[in-house]
Amino acid sequence: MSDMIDRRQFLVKSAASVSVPILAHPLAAAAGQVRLPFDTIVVDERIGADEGLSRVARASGVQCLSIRGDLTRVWFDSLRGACLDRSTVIAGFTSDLDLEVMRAFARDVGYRQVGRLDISIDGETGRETVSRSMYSSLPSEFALASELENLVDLYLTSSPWQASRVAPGPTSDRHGPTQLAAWVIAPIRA
Amino acid sequence: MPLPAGLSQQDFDGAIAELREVVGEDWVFTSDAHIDTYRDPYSPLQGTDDEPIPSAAVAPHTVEHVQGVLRVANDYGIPTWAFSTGKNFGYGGTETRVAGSLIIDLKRMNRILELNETNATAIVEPGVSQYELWQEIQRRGLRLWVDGPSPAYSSIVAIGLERGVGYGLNGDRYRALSGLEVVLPTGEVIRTGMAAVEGSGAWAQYPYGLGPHVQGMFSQSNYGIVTKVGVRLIPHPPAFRSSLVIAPNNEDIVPMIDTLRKLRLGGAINNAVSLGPHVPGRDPWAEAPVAAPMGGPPGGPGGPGGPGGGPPRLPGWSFRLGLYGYDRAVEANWEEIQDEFNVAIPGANYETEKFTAPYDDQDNWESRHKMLAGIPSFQETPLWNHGGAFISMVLPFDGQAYWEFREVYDRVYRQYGRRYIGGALHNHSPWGLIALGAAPVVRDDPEANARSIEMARMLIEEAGKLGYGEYRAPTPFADEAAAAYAWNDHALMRFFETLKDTLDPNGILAPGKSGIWPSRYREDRA
Repeated sequence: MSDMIDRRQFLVKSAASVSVPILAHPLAAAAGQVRLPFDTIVVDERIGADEGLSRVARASGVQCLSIRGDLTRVWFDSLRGACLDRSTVIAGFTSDLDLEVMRAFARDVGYRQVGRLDISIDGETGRETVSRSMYSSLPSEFALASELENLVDLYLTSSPWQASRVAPGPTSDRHGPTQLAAWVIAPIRA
Repeated sequence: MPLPAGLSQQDFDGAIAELREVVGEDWVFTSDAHIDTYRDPYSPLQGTDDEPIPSAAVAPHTVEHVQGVLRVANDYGIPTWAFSTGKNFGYGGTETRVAGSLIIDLKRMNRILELNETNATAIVEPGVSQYELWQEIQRRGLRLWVDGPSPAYSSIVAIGLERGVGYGLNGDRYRALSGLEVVLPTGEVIRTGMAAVEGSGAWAQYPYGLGPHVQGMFSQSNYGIVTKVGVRLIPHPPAFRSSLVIAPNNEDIVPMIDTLRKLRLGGAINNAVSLGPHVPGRDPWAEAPVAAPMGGPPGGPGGPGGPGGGPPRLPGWSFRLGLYGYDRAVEANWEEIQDEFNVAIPGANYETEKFTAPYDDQDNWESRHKMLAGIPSFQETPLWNHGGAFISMVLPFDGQAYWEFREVYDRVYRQYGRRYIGGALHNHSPWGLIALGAAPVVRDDPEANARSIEMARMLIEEAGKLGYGEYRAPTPFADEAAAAYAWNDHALMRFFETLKDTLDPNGILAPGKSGIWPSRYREDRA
């Protein structure tokens, strides 16, 4: 588990990192500056999370796995083995339905969701509403959940919502708010 | 977590100790943290006093373990609920009917026992997902497709037993099952069909065996825990054409269904076709069945804007069509199919692509082609809208009947501030349609969900007045769904109950599943 950093420090450094084009990014230096308490981050490329988040993740030495909906392949080909081999912590930035899939997978290997932030984005205005839920009372898990907020802040500040990327078609066709979820799963410590 | 009704803490602790002896210390779960993972955040009952929270969970690894678990449940009178793997967003999952139930989690029973390329069959345990079977097929280099729903994490056994749908030649997932091994509630193990022959050499080849065909008794039922299943797979055809058939106007659904019926019954189309509202540039499956049956947010009609910024209008329709077989036959059928739709639907249009064996690049196909072929597609889960409780009715394969049904559903939806724009229509047999509707479920909003429960009940009731019933019911609505099957003063349910009381005298296995309650619960509920 990596050391945790202060929220402001995280945001300042992260925002600075993501503003640099990837090819010019000083990866080695950034890895020393930003440390994330997750071993792996799963991002859904449809929601723009593959840009800012994955850059920071990779810069800090965290494995970043990209999906396009449906976690199944990533789970069976990579995450499941990692969960069974060792105690690992996985964060994600996906649709809320994919989180539900992850919760089922996690249970099968003795893991559970320990933090969750729901982000609802209005299809018309692009305005975000963030709600937090289901934090554990265990201090270690609460800390992880708090770090999740940093990830969400990073996403909201560095990867501005671009509705056209995820919901092509006329605005009036959208069926309601887009539901995203940032989450973290960790071994169950009962 | 709640204890099973009527059980003291001391007795419960005794039962847990015995379960640990059966399956091992590590595979019995009683902590709140563990039990919480079995709760369904998208249950309409979530967070209410009616939510049936389990008391414990146990994960057997063998048939003997399952027998041992049921023995303990019988000794202590503990209600159980078996679950395989995956997550269903419309019909429930680990949600039980009775608070304090013991979850029997079959995830560890995930062995692929046989895989036969020549006969295109497999024998699997309930914890095997589509993806795992697919991985094994690929590892062995076999020329087989699987079929099934998407995404690919669902249990091969569960989706068949629950009579779910796929999209290709084996889209009727129940009919892809052949030969079951079942642990009865008393602990006795039986096999059905050809699997019952000693040393069976044709387990998955013929589901009926000799005498009464009992495989169906273990589908959507609470008569036993299925521990092995024969499954039929799809051999690679010489040619495969994947097409999208598009009708431009909402009212075109009537001739679209009628033309499709003719082609399905006539044998020109053999895959399990699913129709959905068509939005240009989007795959109909990307949002149906979750978004479309919800009918949009309160007040929103859900269709693209009309010409000149006029009032929104309802979308057209489309469906994905797979043709499989010898190249010339596939092409001839495709020509006939286009001719039929061109006559029935002015402005009908198509997208199509053909593939021929060997399918060496199949892993790189777009998800829409994979789904039709029967390859785990990793179809995108939608980014909008929540899960819901699906209220899906069996209709005749008839355009006008669907149109009238839709009017009735829309009337109910309007009462709850929504519109029914028509959800996915599955036809995994040529003789019937399944029309999908849904009551939205919002996590952590019991007030909104209370309205949805009301709405779901009204949908069931109104469809019942048309003579329709559900093909499958979300767990919390099993009683209402079963009540529609009321002919001759519920004679069918009395028959189900007679079987239940005979096979499960202590009423320990999944009480209330499909609305079937064992006698001790019926007495309490009376």
